[in-house]
Amino acid sequence: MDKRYMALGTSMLVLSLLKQQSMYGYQMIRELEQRSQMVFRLQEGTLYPVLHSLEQQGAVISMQKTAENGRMRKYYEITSHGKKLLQEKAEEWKIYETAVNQVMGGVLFG
Amino acid sequence: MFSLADERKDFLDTVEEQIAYRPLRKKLSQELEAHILDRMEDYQEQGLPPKEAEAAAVRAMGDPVLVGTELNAVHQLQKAPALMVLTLVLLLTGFAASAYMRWSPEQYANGFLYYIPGVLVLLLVSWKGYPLVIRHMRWLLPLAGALLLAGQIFSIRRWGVFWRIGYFRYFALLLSGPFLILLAYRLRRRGGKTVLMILALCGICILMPGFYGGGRDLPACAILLISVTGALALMIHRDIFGGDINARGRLYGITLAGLALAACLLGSTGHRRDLFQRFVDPDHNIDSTWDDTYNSALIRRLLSETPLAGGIELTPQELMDYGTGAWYFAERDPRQIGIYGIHSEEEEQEFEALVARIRESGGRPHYIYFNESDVTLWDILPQHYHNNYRIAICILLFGWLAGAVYLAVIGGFYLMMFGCIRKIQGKLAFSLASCCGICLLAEGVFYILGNFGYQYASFTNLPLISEGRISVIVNMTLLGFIFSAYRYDHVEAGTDPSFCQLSS
Repeated sequence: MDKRYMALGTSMLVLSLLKQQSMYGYQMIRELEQRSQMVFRLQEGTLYPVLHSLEQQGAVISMQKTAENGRMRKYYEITSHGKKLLQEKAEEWKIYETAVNQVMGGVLFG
Repeated sequence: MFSLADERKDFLDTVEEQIAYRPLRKKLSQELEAHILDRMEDYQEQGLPPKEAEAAAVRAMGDPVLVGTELNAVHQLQKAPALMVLTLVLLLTGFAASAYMRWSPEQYANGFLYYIPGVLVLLLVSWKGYPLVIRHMRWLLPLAGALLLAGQIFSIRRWGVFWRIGYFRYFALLLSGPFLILLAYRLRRRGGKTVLMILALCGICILMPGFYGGGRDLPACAILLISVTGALALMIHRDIFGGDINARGRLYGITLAGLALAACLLGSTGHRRDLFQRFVDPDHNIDSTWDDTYNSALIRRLLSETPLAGGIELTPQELMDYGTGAWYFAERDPRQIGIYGIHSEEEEQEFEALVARIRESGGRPHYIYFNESDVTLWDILPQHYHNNYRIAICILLFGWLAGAVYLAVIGGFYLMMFGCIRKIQGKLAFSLASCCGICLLAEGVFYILGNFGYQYASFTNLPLISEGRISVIVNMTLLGFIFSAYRYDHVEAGTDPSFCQLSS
């Protein structure tokens, strides 16, 4: 897959998860795995550059909390700008998806 | 073979090695380590022994070099080379103009030489300003409050050798803005109450110079109010105080009401109201040619006679009329022509001795000694105030087109500066940089208004260009802070001491 669409897909998935509730990194990975029935299995470390980049764009904000086991956790929360960005990314993804379907449909089923 | 934790340590060390900004390394690796430990726990619950669970958790993270490199690409120090070059060019023009337009040799020491430490302050604050502020915020706020209070107290009561501290109150007022915004950020979760408290503190700062006259400090009071309310409004716009759209509307309302109330304090004494009257209607409030309001009227008159290209050309007779004030006073009160607000013999002797000293040391002012045979444009301009009329003088010497170019360059500087501020994502960095930027802009606006004949109380400085003494240091501190907030935005955003309040 084109690298641009890979990045688009990852940040779109992250923003979609955060739209429902604030989460920390590992929680997002688990949610992605569970909801996609293990189809989306990222190299987990690569999630953080995506999250930090979204934070710099103002799409998410972060806050640190200490968990019950004493471990520091950084929770991410979507902002209103992030919600707008998600909408834009979803539209962009739809264009990509339609284009792929048209090509695939043309070759396989045309 | 790796032992337990070695594999994890090796992964984190490799990630850290890819991060160029060292103070950030620990913070980033803590977040990754928490992730590895969470994953390890899950694997152990699934029945893996600790050692294998750790190895699997580290493997799941992916290539540490790739992760570190991608994190480093996100967390780069930012530079604003175009803005820095323009800043240095403008500083250089200010330095040259200050050296050329000196009133007396004393101004060598009092004026343009301050540009040298000014540039050093700019570079130092740009380099380390923001990280230092966020790391030492805890004691910086009380210290700033104590200094401001000391400045005000020494202005009212002049004790011993320390009374000179009071001279810095003007600049203490300008610097109070960023500290008030720092306090607003710390207490942002209290929303409207914080906005009200900050504006009340601003009101106290405005009120204090009123106790001792303090006309000179009035522009600083106005600039403080503008920069603080402007920064508060931008903080609300960026959702820094939190809350929904209704809460935001309420906060805007509180800010506007607080601004109106605090602005009323700018007219809290008769002297202050008189200065405001002179600002809005200078033509009908001139006492003598020794009066700043007269300078405003004179500058406006001269500018109206200046062509688009090329400087103003005046006959010796016209120069005499302008120099003595005859053009203005002849129709109104001929007794005022050539009188400079000196009412007693003692005052006159003192004034003449001062003029003689300046003339002996090669200074320019002729004051009451205008002579048709040798009077020049420089003699009739507001004498020792050349520093305050840089834009007007540029227009008078080279025409309106040159002045428009000069103003466009200054406008370009402000546009670039606010372009940088707008890009800052870190909430604290954005709040502070906005306050500093609005403060520099307000100084510039008051200065430019003065150059077109509308001077509010005393003259402000045009940052970078019209400077002198301590103002260059203060303005370079404010500007350096903007550079610094922008520089560290991608590495220090989120390094917010108030996070600890959220720990549960």
